Amino acid sequence: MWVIVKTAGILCIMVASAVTGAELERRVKRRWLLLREMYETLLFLEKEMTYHRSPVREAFDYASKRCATELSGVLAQTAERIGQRTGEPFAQMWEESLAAQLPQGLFAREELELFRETSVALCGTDVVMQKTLLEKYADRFRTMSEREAEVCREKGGLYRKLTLAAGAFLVILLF
Amino acid sequence: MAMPEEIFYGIFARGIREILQKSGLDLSRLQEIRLRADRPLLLRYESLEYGVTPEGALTKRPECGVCVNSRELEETLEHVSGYSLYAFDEELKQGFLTIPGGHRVGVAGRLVMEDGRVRCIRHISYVNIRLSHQVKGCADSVMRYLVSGGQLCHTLVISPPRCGKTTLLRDMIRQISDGTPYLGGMTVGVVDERSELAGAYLGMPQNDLGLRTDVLEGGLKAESMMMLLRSMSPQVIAVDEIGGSEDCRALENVFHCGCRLIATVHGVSFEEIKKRPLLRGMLREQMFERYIVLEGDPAGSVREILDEQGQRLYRRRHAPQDRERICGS
Repeated sequence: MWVIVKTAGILCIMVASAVTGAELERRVKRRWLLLREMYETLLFLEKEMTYHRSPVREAFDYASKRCATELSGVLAQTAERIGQRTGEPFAQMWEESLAAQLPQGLFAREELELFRETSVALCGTDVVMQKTLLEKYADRFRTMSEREAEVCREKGGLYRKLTLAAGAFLVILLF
Repeated sequence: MAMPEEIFYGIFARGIREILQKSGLDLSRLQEIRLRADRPLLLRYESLEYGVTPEGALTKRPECGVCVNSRELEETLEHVSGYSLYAFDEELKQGFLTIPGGHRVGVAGRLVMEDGRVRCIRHISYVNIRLSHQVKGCADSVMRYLVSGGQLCHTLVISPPRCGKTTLLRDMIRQISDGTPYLGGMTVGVVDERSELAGAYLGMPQNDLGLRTDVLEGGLKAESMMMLLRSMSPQVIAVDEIGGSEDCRALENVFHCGCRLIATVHGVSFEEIKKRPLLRGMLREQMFERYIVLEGDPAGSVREILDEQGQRLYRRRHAPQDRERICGS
């Protein structure tokens, strides 16, 4: 009986540590994927706006279909609100869509501020500066996503191994 | 097409929108709204200019009315363009864009030039929203004078600015296209350089130009006339505000192709436009068979209709002793 309980306990501890490691790795990877997708989306939108002159609602709808992360929801929700023509400022709609769709706690405050600031590039009255701003923000997201890719590579596997090791240590300690 | 109120007010920044909603304007009588950065908001309502107080009351002293700040102007431009000002790049180079309802939003600011051509406009600080009001039936009184021998006459509408010539032309096109008691429906090709006639928004005409009308919008008049002739086989070509030498050359081509022509020109009278070098030749050769002269009081009033020789066919009655209807066609 005692052996069965011990075995079950060991299994629970190892599974929990494996899941924790996988979750930490997934979180890091999720940040990287979102930042990379934001960079690619800004480049896509720049081309849609500059060359095809697609209205922003249409461009956002199209871009949201290409996205695999929560960014798809941000773009789709913003496009829907634009279509409702409620007369709200674009920055407000963008910010509210970000707050509703982006996962809580995934990004630091400064990083979220950068997401919000991109509204200036996505909708502005200076069409000459708009292209420049889109490129500038795309570049910033590219830098952030490359840094995050590095973190993912270094720490992703490390988190998994550390949590498994911690689980094993706990097992040894307890049993 | 009447613009639903909520869509109309939705194009303004929040602060301006609230004040305009308080004022309870009748949009069918509103002609223009002018926004200038750090200047009072001005309306042209029933042909008179007003400012608007913070309480929404109209005032004939604009300096007492609300001022528009630059942030509100930018926000208005965002709403006007559907948050896509870049998508109207080509129209902005001409100084305007068209919004749902066929209304025209003129802008002014700093032009960016490249190789002698307008590349774009930046720092937009002046916006003029001109509401388009289609008045169906305003051409009823002139249509019978435009038909002679079972054919539509080449017609030139002469009008000072803001006297309703575009509104009249629009209704003439509609009636020619749909048909009238005087003439059956005809295929009409419309050259709509500034999207004022059809008022197309994203390619969809907002005004009713008739069943048999094709519209070529946005391009230069001369080229557009030739394109319509080549591709759409119109029986009638309608063009607004002719004036340049290329326009006149294109008009001559239209005359010689067997198309009927309806055009408008800025001017105050037949005698005045006869003196213009570019039009003089066409008038001397009696290319136009009818001249409709408009006057501004009230807007759209037909002062007189003349034949190709300048003989008066109709004159507006100003007083009982002035009645001079010589003949009809």
